[in-house]
Amino acid sequence: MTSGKIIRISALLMIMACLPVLFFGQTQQATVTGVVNNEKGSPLEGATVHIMSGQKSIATIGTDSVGRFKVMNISPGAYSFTVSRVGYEQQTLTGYSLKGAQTTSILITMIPLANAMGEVVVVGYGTQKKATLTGAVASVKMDNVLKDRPVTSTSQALQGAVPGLQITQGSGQPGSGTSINIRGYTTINGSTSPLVVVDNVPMDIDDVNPADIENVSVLKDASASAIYGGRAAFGVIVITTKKGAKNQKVRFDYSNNFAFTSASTLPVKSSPLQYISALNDFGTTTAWSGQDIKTWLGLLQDYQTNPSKYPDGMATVNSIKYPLAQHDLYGRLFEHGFEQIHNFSFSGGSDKTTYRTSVAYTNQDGILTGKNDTYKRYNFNSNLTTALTNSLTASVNVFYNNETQTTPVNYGTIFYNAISFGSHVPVGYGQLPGTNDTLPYSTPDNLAKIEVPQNIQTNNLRLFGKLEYSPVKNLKISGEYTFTQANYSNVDVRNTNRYVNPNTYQLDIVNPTSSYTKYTSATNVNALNLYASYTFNIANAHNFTFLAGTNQEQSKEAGYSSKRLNLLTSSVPSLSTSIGTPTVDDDFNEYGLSGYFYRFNYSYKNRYLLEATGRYDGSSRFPTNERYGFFPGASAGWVLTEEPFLHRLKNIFSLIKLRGSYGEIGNQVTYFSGTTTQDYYPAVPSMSIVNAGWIDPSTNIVLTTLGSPRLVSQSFTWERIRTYDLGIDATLLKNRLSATFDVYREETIGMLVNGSSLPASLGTQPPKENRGNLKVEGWDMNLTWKDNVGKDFNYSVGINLAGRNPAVITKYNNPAKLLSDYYEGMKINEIWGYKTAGYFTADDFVKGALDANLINNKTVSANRGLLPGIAGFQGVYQNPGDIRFVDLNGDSVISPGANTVSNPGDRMIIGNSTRRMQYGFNASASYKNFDLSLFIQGVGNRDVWISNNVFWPYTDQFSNIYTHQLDYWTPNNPNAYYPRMYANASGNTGTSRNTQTKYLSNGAYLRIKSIAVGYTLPQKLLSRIKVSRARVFFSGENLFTFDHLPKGLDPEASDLGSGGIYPFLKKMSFGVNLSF
Amino acid sequence: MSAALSASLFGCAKDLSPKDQLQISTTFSNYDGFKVYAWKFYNAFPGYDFSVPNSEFNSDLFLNANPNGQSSWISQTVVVPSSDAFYTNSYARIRDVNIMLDNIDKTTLSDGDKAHWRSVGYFFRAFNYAGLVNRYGDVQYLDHAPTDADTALYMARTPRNVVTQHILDDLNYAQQNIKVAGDGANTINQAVVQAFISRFGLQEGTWRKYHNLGNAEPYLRASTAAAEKLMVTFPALSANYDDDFNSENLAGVPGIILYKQYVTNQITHSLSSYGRNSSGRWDLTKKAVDMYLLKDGQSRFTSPLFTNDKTPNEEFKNRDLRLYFTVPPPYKVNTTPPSSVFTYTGVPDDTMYFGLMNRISNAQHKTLPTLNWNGFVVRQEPHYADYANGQPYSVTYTGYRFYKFVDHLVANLQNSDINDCPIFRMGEVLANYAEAKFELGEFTQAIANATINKLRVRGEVAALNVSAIANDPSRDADVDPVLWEIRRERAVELMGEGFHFDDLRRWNKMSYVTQWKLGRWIKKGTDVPANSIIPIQNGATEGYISYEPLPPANFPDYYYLYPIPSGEIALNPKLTQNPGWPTK
Repeated sequence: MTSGKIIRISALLMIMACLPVLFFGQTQQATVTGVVNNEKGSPLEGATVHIMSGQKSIATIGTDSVGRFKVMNISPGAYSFTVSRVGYEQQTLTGYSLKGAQTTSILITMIPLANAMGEVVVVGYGTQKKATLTGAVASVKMDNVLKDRPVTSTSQALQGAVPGLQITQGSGQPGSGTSINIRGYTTINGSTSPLVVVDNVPMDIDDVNPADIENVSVLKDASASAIYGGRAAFGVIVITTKKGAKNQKVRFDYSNNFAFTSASTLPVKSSPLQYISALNDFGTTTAWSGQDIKTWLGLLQDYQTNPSKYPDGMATVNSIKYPLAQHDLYGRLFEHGFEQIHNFSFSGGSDKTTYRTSVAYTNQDGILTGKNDTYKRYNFNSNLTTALTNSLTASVNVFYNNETQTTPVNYGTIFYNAISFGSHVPVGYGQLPGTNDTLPYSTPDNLAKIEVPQNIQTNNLRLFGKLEYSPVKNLKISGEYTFTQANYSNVDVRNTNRYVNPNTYQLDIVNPTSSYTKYTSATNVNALNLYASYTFNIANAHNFTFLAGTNQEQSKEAGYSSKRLNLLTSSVPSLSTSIGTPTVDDDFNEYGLSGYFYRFNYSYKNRYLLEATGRYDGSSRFPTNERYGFFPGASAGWVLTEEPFLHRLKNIFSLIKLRGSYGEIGNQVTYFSGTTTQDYYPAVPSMSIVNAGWIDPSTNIVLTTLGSPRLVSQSFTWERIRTYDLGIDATLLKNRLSATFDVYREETIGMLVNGSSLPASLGTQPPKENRGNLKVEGWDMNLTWKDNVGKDFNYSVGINLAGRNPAVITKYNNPAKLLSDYYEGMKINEIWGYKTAGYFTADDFVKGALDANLINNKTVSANRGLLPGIAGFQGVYQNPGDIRFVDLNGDSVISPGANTVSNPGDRMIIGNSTRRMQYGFNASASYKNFDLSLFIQGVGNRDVWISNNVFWPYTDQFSNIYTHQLDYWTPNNPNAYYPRMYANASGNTGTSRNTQTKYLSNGAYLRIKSIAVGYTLPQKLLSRIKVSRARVFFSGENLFTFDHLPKGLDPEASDLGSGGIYPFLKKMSFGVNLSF
Repeated sequence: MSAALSASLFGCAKDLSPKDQLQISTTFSNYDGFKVYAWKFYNAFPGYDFSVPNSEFNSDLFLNANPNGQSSWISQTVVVPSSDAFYTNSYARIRDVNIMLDNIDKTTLSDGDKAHWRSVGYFFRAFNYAGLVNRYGDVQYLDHAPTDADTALYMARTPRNVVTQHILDDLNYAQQNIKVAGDGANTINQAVVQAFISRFGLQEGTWRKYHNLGNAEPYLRASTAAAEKLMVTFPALSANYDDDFNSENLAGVPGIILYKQYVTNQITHSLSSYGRNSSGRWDLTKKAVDMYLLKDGQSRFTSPLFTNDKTPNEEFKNRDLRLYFTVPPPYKVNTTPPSSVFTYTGVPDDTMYFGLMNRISNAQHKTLPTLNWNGFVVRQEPHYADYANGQPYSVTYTGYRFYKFVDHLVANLQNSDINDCPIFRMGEVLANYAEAKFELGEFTQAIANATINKLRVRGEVAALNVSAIANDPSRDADVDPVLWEIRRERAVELMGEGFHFDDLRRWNKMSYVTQWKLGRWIKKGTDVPANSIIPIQNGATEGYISYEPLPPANFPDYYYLYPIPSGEIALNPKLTQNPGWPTK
């Protein structure tokens, strides 16, 4: 790098006015004072200033907490100054002539390094330089990720941004959550969510306003996360929030974002004619709603040519109504939504104090029709840090958020109706037969609009206080206390509403008994962290850092629910205004955690790096004698570029670091089997209070009884997660290219699981014990290229990839290898299924087995009408058009066998639903005042088995048919995609839909998450109105998704029943950023 | 020091335990603790669960009116399951009982109270083991709650005679030691124990007799002894057969020993609704309807009161009243669906049974015309699925729609039915007693009068005269004419209550299911349109409805016992599969 180039992108230099000086005797020495600021004008602490005379350094000094330095007693002469600081480009200012008896003041503005390697990374209870980091840690600046995207939750903003951080979202519903997993680390004991700590204290990631976040670090290996102990088993996400800066005058920031939203994908229903023709083809004679299919078909055909004959889109034959007109049921349920986000903050600081306070408001009206699908959030966050004395600093943080979500109560019904009702179903209002009542049809859109939504409110208050004491240089003692209170309330009002069923035209009453239900819960968490760190170096070459501390935490949760039936009026719903029998219930949960931790770092000339961590951790969840566990970690690194022999190649290799780590960490959280409900007392054989199936005849109220006490082992303890990681960090070509690559293996040892399949005569689940191991292997990488063309055009391109193999069970007590349980050698998420051979044809049957329509094979014979050697499904009388499976075991019958690995019948592993390759791609460019960014995210390799009404046509007699499902087998369409369907979806419909190769879906997808353009208003214009920065932007979110699924399905969306999904939102947004 | 301080402040070292749950020590500490715990045992009674009438599909008297609804037992397509909820749930309930039994002696209850709770436990343990034995024969017998390390889990199956002896011993203890009045109204008491002894003793005794296992008599004797006591305690039956199944409160209904109560917003069922909507597809077969006698006490094959079965009206004339409470009598009205109003057709034949139903039933029970769940009038009965006339609910294949559990209408309250379910009732006990007495060779006219003839009174059917039984040509030649009538009475009285499949199994008479399941006689062009797809036997245009193919000719002997779930055998190789079932 030439010095000219440095200068081009570098410093602003100013020689300030000479100050009056005092003369002391004969000494005619010079004095230099200076301030080192960052590019925003905030002072930089800890920058190193070398005062050079020629090539010789005559003095070295660091800047103080307000970025100042001062050197006295310098002989007059010509000097240059070289200033360096981690995270910033080194700067050399030349050409200073210092005169005796004078003080020269200089102001140095540092430019951040163009790549991430120079960053300071937040790690457990401290920070480390990224350049000397030895654990697998990925770090992003939130502003770079969030940009101006219309994203309301932190986890959504991080999706695809960090390699190995898997964030999946199941729904586009406002306020809906995400699930987070790091690197596929897993256990078969329930959830594997990472720990999220915000300013050192655990918190729900989506309770933090993304705009308040400064930095997010993802600690991926146990060597890095071990220091967090008990709950960090599946990695840690460390979030630091924005703070004010010292000596900065108050600054106001305001931004907003207005977004118009719509569904990213909706299924397309067949037309009434297509639907009824199909039912006719299947042999259905009467619709479940009573219409004769042949009559209906005739009417529909007539309607196509003479629609005017049926002015209300309906015919009546034999007193039965035949709806003929097509309606867009789905389109009525999903309309456009609108969202707005406002963020306002002020921040600044004096030389002793910094402060930042922010408020935010988010309001989303979802895409479901009506106003019952909303999310509102208020955030308040205030930080104040002040130096009490030279050695004592105090910080206070108050954090509050308040969320209100409304959700239609009968979600399941709404989606079921939306999926299953045909396009012939009338919409709007209809007359109840035999009456003069005009009532709404119970179509999904009417249900969504009319029923009272469930109202869920949460608020979190967090008070945080910290004292930092530095009695001697390099020793810091910190004490942090956090009190968190989380309140949750859910109000569910059910009114008795009358509708007309749009299929049968009968009266449809939703909630025959009205009710009011309220559930509230409060969680109080007290947490205390005490830790100290000490840094020193020997001979400027050996650097040591020690950190040790303790973390104590206790959580208490109490919930209360009350319900009362029979509301007096729907307009004033409450417990008091109901007249039925009230019922109440409560619940409590508590846990305590106690940990003692240390970290030791050593580096030799920033070249050889060593780190050791450990934590001794106790959890109240384990039996008394098994409560504590010790979890160590170690890592080492070698910075090749610090080796003298590579100095010559500095222009090519800015940094190359090899690192490796090993660590162990404990997991204490277990879940009730098959649920995501935490089991706080797994060591206690408790019996929950439950309703009996028996009524007390004297009160007519259900009796209360007790659940079964579980078997409990007294010898179970922490499950251990062990990780191995090898990585390389590199910065090349003058910092333009940076790359990180890691390979890893995770072993989960002694998983807390029921552990084995035991005979049913036990009568219960086996006790949870530390049985079962598994391992996960994978790699992740990140590549970033950043450069500029000329002065005005800057661009960057980044890609991150994460590949992994499905987790493998390496130990499990299931010697019989039943497929209904885990077994050794099993790959998690494997899909067992049959191999599809094709369709049965008439040639496969003995003569006379079939009737003229190639159906009704009911031949009572050993092979049920099939020719010898042709294998049919066990217990099934096959017909042509049914799926024929390959007889893998050659026993002439298709069956699931004994459901064991050794005898799976004719099934084999046909796929795996693990996301085996995930990627993110981002690009940004700016030209003068214009900027543009693009963000893509996706999954490259995944199989999914989808079995719902949107995938399969006509799953039962009540279901509809979508346009992509019209290619079904008939004698005249023998090469169709879908197999033969039967009247009322009975017959062999289900047999043909067994899990199999032909209908296994490819779950890979690519989503254009975000495209944004912005324009920064020229400074000249703004200075007149006292605005320091103003930017306007437009952005599009989720505009395109490329996948392999039919319309209306999304590989990531969770099924709300029958294949109904709340689609992800396409957003078109605009907004403005202002600073003043 | 700071670490020690913080540890004492926050203390994860404390033993935390749930504040909203109990433990064994806090539960079995007083009488009420036992009482609360024991309510869960009652889950062993299915009540009005679909599984009960569904089991009838496996017999000769019911047909599943769904496409491909043929019973796998009858079509001989039973597949060995890898796991079986009945097997698993039975052992789970046995464990619950054994936990209580294991803790009785650790308490300070009085000896009398201890004996009472032991009796309650023994009753339920016996009830659950009886279910297992009935299905699987030999089953592992555990009289304590095992831990996961208990070697008993891996023992071989306990021989049937050992298990049934334990059941009988437990029941006898319970009969002698339980509180006579139990723990209040509608709880397990002495009479309930006796009712179950009556059922189990007959079941096991006849199984042993007809499967040649020997030692039948003690079981039959236990059955008759228990029944005799009950016949003293419960001398009367309810006057109306329908009251036993469709009362909103069975408390105080004569002849009801134990019932499952259903209350709106507490516990409800759907069996009644299923009889009114499109989901209930339980049909009686022609054979089942033929079993209902005519008023003179003779069957349709010999009675002079029987004219023909070519029309529904003729077929239903002069029958046992229980038929009209089980299958809707035929009628036709005019209605415009969907509508809750109707007009008469003016044809007298179309309303032939309205007067009868008005006499034997009332608005709180069954009325004509029948109504769907929403209160809409069903245009006609029989109401064929394939000739539904725009009314897709309350349909049938055979023409004999089962509506025994259909309560009076609670409009618009679908699947929240509240008619109580009898669990033990004298109707069954009398049938048990008659049969057990016959099997013991002790059946007399006096016993007939105390049993069969009491049941016949409710059907307004002439009494059985043991010495003058008409020669029913449909009788199984291997069955004594008296026993034939006893079994007929049992089938009719208990129709659809989930007994008949087990009855055929214990009588070794599953060969009955190899007969063609038929429906009503219909004539295409008259009863249904000429182009109707309703299948008639042998493809005729007039004859008996026949939806299902003729089952395979021979019922395999090994089908008398259920297969042991293959997963259980994989986990415990000492469990052997019942003979005949595939073992791979």
